[in-house]
Amino acid sequence: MVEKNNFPYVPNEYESEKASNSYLLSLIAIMTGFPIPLFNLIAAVIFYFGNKRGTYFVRWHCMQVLIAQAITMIVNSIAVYWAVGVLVWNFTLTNNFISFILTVAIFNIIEFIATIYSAIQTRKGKHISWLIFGPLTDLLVKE
Amino acid sequence: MHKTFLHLVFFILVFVGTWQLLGKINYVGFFQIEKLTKETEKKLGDIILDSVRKDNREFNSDSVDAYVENIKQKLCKANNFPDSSITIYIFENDNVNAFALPNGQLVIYTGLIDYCETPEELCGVIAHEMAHIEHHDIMKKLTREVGISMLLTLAGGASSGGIGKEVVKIISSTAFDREQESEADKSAVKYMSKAGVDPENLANFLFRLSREKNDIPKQFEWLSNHPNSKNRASEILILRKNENHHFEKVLSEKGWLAIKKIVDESLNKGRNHSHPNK
Repeated sequence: MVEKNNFPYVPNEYESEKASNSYLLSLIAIMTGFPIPLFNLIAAVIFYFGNKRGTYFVRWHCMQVLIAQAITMIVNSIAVYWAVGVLVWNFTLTNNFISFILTVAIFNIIEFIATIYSAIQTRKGKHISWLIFGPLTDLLVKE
Repeated sequence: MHKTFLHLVFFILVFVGTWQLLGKINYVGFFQIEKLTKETEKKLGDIILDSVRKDNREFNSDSVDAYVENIKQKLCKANNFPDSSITIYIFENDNVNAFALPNGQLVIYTGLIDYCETPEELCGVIAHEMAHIEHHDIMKKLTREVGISMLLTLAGGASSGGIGKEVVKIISSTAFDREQESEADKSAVKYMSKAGVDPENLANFLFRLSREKNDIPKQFEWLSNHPNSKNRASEILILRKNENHHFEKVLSEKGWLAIKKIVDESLNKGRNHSHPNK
């Protein structure tokens, strides 16, 4: 899920702290926003635009968090809608629903661990590119 | 760009693959969720029926029971429903009402039988209530009006009789969603047509009910949980056009007149002497 990559330059202390904060903020949002997935995305969007004029290292990591949160929000929203349907609107409780909720839970746990790991590593000034979202971030954020 | 696209495809494949792989496990069967849900519905049905019994006397007439049962069987047979999936209970009550309970139970008041002019009209009301049962509308309505936690408390037997009474009130006099009503009407038209009974009878019943409700509104309980009768009657007539037109009498006219007489006598007796359970 997570791989260490070389970055074009070595970030300074201030940049490392900012980049690390973007991961930490998404973690706090996960805790406060759950089970409303939109809060995580809003937090990531605010943090990204707040650092839009930041350095390449900071912008890159803010964008990686933003992409991860956007995809997570889509998946979590489907899960919440389906769960509300089962609990309130009498949708049928099926094996398909339970396996979807379990899959979403697994992906959320993996993302949670990856976020903590990335927050620690970027604070040390190391560049962390996630397997799926990293290459997408490369395309969207230019030096 | 190509690598990014491959990564995204890989992500989607891993997600869907995990979902499908985990979906191979039969959680519903393993944790007996379906059994639990059915058991809860059965318990709720029994508790609510007991509450109805406390306020109304069950109507004891073999000929009326047999006649209504024959109508039900005709509908069930023509629509491939197991005969045991619906159980009809007739209660002495002069209100024009019939309502479905959880677990495939259907309550009919004698006031409704008395109000119906033909057995086909009664067949129409039964078909409509059967549609609510088949669409699981009763549990949906209860979940919406009462809430899951209260229903589970009631099913667990840890509540007072007051809640049971309140649930009976909700079931017998709270309206279904407009969409649920419309779907139930559509199904009723199908059920009746397949059984060779003209759905126009249900439309006639609804027209008459909406026309006469202003005279004695309190007695027309069926209207309070089935509003917009006039519009629905018109829609039923439109739906009827698409159905089979080889209709016949649901049961013998002679039998109908006999049961009407029995019901009428019982209601008159009840009006003269207030019944002991009330």
